[in-house]
Amino acid sequence: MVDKVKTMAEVVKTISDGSHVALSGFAITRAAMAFVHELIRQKKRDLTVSQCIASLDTDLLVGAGCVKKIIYGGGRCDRFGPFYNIDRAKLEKRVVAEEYSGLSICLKYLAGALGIPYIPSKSLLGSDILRKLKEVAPDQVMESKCPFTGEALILLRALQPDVAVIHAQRADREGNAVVYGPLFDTKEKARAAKRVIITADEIVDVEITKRDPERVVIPGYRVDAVVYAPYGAHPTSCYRYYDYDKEHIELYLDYCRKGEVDKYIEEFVLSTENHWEYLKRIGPQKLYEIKAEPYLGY
Amino acid sequence: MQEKEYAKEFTSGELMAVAGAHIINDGDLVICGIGLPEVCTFLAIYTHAPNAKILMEQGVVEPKPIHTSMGVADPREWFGSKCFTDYIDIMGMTLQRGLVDVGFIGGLEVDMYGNVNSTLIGTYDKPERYFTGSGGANDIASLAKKVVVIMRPHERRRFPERVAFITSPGFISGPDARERAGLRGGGPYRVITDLAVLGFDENTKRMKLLAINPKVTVKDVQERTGFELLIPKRVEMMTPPTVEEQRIIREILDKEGLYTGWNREEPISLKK
Repeated sequence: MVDKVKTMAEVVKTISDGSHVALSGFAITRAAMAFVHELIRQKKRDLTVSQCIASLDTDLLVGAGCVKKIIYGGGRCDRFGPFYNIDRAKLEKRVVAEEYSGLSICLKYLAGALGIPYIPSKSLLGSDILRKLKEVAPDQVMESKCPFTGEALILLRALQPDVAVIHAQRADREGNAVVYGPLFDTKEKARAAKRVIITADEIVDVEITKRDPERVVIPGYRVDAVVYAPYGAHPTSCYRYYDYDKEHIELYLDYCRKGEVDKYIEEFVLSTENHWEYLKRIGPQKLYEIKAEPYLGY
Repeated sequence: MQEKEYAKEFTSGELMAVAGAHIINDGDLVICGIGLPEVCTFLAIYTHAPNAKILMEQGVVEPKPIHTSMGVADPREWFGSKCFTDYIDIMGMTLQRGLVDVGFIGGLEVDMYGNVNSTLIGTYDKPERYFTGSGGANDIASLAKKVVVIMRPHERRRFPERVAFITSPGFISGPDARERAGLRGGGPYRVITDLAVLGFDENTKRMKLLAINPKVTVKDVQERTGFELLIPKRVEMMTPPTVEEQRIIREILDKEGLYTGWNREEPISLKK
């Protein structure tokens, strides 16, 4: 057995500036926050970030100035508010936004995962999303016709991120990753990526995985590294493990709304040396309070 | 058949919930997000459409939440589900496959052809502020058999002649434009606002007034719309909730009044 467990710092060191990183989150759930914190501490630059629906991991990374391009299907911080950093960075042209619909991103990952160069789709037709994409990313979309029936199609270029970072509830030392709850784009983005990094709330023995193999969403042979990151999605939720931290998300959005994401980053990311220090900053009382009730899953 | 007993007082939000619910037929597959669309869908399920099924884009099938949620990514929204799956299953293998009967979307603006903008304010070339973008909205507008647009408050700036950005295509520029673009779904079916229920003319594909909130006149609705509505000779009143529908809304679906405002708004009365 190859033991793939590594520290967050050493795994993040393998991400070079300019890489394309597919991030785990979906709005306020299962975001790769601990990983993103370390990307910010290590001052990564010019990253391309992709995910099907925008999440807190991408918004914070954009706010920290680490991102030059986002490839995504739109999104907001649910009813908490907008993702101020993403929306403003687009307006001020600090990032290039390659913006699709949610399904289009999943299909681009699927094509990447299948090793085919593109995939036809029936979304985006007749929209300004398509018009904008033809300006921003002319090598990524094409209007075409079905060679068999002549039906109008959009051809979406396959997406193969350099690395996908998936926050999972559980993984073993070989990287077999268990994810609970709806999966959104998790499977496709992990399989599309050239490398996969799992951050997990729990690391277990491979024998535990074998008791329940149908739970494994990403098999170990596709995984390059596993990082132990309890509460690694905080302040977003991790189904059956912990709820989102309402007060912390509100605090974050409050900083962002005022254009003071720097202060947030200083207080919670740069002034903490690692994830354990971050968790100390959040405090044990809060971590107990958001622990999921088994019956509810939140 | 027993005569329906209607509530004597209700809110605009409750009228909207009823209007949305009545679009759903028994057995329909419905894609919706949280908020009023979900209230509409559950109201249908609790009354005339017990076999309608809710699907949510993140991969949730037939949820039955017991707590108010912050969004589709809130595990509160996943409670009581019959199946957890993924985005491609719901939005690809079900929606693009052509199986979704009704899809609800919202946005910043809707225009005379039912195109919806949820991307930006300003103009295409000079955006002033960016918003949510598509999420699943473009996919729903492109592919569902019936698209229901929920828009409130009903005001001129939200009903321009042409949206600043077509995030989710309606009938685009008029008759046959959807077909020319190659879109499969049926396009916009209803626009439901706090003042009216609107549909689309079969030939011109222009927005048409179908029913109004009893608290306003046809003229009020036209004045608060930024383009000329098609106004048929006979415009109905929006159907009030029955006593039973109102009980379900207030006691089960929107206990806190977040979406229908029944516990904070001045009620509308039919007695006058």
